[in-house]
Amino acid sequence: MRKERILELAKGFRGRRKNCIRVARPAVEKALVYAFRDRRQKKRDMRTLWIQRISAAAREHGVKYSNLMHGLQQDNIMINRKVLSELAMYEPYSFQALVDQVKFMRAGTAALSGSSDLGPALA
Amino acid sequence: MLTQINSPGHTCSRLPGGVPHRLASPVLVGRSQLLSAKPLQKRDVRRQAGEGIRIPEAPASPPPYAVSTDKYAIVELGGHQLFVEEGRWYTVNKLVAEPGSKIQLRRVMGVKSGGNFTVGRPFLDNVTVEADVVEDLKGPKVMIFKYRPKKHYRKKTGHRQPLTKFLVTKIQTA
Repeated sequence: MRKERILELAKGFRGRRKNCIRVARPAVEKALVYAFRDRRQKKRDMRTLWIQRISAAAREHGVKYSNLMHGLQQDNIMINRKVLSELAMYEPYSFQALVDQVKFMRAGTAALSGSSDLGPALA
Repeated sequence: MLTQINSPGHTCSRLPGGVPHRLASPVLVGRSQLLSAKPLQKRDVRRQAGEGIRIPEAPASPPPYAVSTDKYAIVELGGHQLFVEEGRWYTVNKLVAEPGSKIQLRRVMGVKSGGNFTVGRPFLDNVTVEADVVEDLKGPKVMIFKYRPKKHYRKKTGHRQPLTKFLVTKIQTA
């Protein structure tokens, strides 16, 4: 029956929202709507997390996140942010290799254009 | 030596060919001697018996928490990029392959084997990953419920994503 399904879904709610159908029904509906919305938001949040991690790891090597991603894009390295953040966490030397590749490229372009790209604030 | 696929898009012409980067030891060797790269200053917080926490000055070997595997590949498959190692299974969106058959993954974007990390622009030519398709399965059911308050509108569906589980047998370099 529909009522039993709703009370099943309402497990873990607070107070009468888990026991009484008249309070549980709108609570479960709201919960399902939030779940729908948050399945989409989770993808955005994960990407934010990956970017934060890549930024932190890149700054340890003296490169800003923006410069790192620009360099990778120019070099046509299409490794995405999820894998980059995993590399930064679990394979620090491989990540360092990518950062050095970007630094080498930017040093080359900077020498030719006569400006320093690494920014004044080297961590 | 692994060859790189020349990209149809923008390629920097000033860069010499070949991206393999040898990192056999923590000390950085190679073309970035132009810039002084800071060595990794990671702390080892392994507890010694009766000594408290010991933090060495500079690690002589890769830091202990970094699960540094010696052979892995970065593969693009099913709309996602995966970090695959030999002997492990992974789940992706459904592949056009029968369960029990062998497949070859050719969109490989990066490979590490034998201390060298090679990255492709965007893919590597001679590297393939061989895998066995284990099974086709369906993901857990998610309830899709749409509801507009006071507007007499609600819609409810369920969805189970079709997935494929495959086991990586070999990462083939060159």
